[in-house]
Amino acid sequence: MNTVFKLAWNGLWKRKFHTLLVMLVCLTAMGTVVSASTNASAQLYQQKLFLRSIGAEPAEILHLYHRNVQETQEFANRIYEYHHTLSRMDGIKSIGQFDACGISFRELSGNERYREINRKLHRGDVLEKYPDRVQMLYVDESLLSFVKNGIRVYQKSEKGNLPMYVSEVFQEILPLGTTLTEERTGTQYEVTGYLPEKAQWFDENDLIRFPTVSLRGWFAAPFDEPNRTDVMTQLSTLHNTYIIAADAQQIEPLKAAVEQEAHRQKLDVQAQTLAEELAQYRAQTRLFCTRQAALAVFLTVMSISTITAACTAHTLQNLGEYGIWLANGFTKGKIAGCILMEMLMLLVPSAWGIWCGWLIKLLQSKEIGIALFREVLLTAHMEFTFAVSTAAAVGTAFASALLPILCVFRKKPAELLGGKLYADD
Amino acid sequence: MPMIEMKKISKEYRNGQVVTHALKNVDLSVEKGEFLAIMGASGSGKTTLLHLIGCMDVPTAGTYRFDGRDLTSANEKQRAKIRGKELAFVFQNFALLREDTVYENVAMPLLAQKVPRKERRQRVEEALQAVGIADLARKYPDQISGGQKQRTAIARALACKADVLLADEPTGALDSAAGEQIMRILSRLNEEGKTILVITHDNQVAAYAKRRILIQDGRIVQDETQK
Repeated sequence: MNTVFKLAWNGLWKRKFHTLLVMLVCLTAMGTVVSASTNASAQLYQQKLFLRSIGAEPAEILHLYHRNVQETQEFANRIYEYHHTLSRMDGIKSIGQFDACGISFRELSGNERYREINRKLHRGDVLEKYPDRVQMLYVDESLLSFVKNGIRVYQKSEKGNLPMYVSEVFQEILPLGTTLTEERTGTQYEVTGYLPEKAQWFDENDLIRFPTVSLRGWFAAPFDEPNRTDVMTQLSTLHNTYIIAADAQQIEPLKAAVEQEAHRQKLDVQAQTLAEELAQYRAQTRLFCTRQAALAVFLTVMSISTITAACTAHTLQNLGEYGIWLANGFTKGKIAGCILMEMLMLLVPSAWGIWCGWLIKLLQSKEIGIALFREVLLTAHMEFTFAVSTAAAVGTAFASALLPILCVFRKKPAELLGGKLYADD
Repeated sequence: MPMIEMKKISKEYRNGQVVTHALKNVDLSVEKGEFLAIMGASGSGKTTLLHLIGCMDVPTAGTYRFDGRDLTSANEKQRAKIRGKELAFVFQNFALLREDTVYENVAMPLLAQKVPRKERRQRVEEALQAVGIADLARKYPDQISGGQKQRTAIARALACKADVLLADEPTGALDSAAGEQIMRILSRLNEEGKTILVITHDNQVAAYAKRRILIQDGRIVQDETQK
């Protein structure tokens, strides 16, 4: 093996130009394979993550889509009434909303210890400049079970204030019973519990397509009354309104009833189960994955044919050299091993090099598309892409080496010697 | 026990429907330390015979024993082991790797034998000294003369410590002075105990050998020992 490796290395080194050209082809092909497999597997992994995180059956959850939205208080009031009606409707276990926003508490503005913790938490991102700000997740208690392994209920406040959970990182500076006053509305909240370090919630943009968000450094509380009727809050939470059905078997009639009630209240609402949304996402993913896979396969096949052509041309030009090897104690098997090893030495490092380059990009890129999905992309890249790209590289090496090896094996040793020997004199 | 013993060796080549009988029922026995010249016209079967002796090919019929071992049905791995270790070739066109230095060319069979690096270096240096081209170790084949190339090929044979050297027209591509030098080296090696088989058209080259065989149409028609 050592000899084969040495000979292959020498062979590549001595044909630097040829090696460089083939390497460029390998890099192009492997680049496509790596990006296709990371992008495709990230989407599949994202679906898995969603299913792992959701605390109820997707088929039992209705997502409400409001259309023809108006930015008026009258519209907000109608929405409020509509949701109130739904909460009393048969077949509905609960209806709830959530919203994430930045707020300020009077008691925390100027609190140097709070600001210090917040600065550390947001080092490197835009919120580092606003250490007084609080990242608040408003979520109805009825929706707390939305995320698995999260909090289920808000512990009641003994002082009659709204309960609030804060991230464990603030435990030392915000003990239980601490009262905090929201600057904008004057609503008072009382710290009644802590969000564990590993607590997560769904991204407010899209439950299914976006990864969950860590609640480290966040605060969570139910909506207060001013917010519930506030037009801006209503508009902000409209796309995060969910109904959990009491009976999954009755989901279709429930959907119809919900839409009918909206129509009665002169609202334009479409209800869709999360299962249906997931199916749509899967269909889109399938299409995307198929296209990515097709492109990767196409480029791999092209690279196989290019590398095969280059390698075969080189082999045919150097049959005499292989004859000399045979005359000096090498076997055809070793020669075949050498040809294959040359391919592996070009392709596998190309694949791994591209994989590492992609990994560095995923770790360091500040592009929104990557930063937002960093964890999912990294997981897919490390768990799936490495294996796929290595397999593609090895498969391409074997496929490319096949024809040149056959060219050698088809000739008898004496015929190989009859090829171009060194004879310039 | 003869070093090389061939009995009723035949070799056929098939190309579609056409069958060429390169060798027909050849009996040949070569003792250890012999210097044998194989002569014959082009196409007589000399090179085929050399390739069979050198385990580069297998006979269609007959038996072949080398140093007491039956190689008739040896597999490729077994034959490769003998090539480059017990048998070495010297070709008319030198058979050097253009992109390797003289040193690397000489070391090649030792790589096949997996000789450790230190020992490899020692053997290569000794072989280069023995043929008088130690100063050319770092040169490439296109930087040296024909005679020097052939000496490199002989050094390669010496480095692998082969007991038998098979030379196919070793002076064919050389001028008479260089050719004479090569034949003197081969003679010296023969005096040191190596068995040498040389294919040649040249009577002057054949004169160095103690025994001559003449091949015609795939058969040995003459076999004489020179005094």
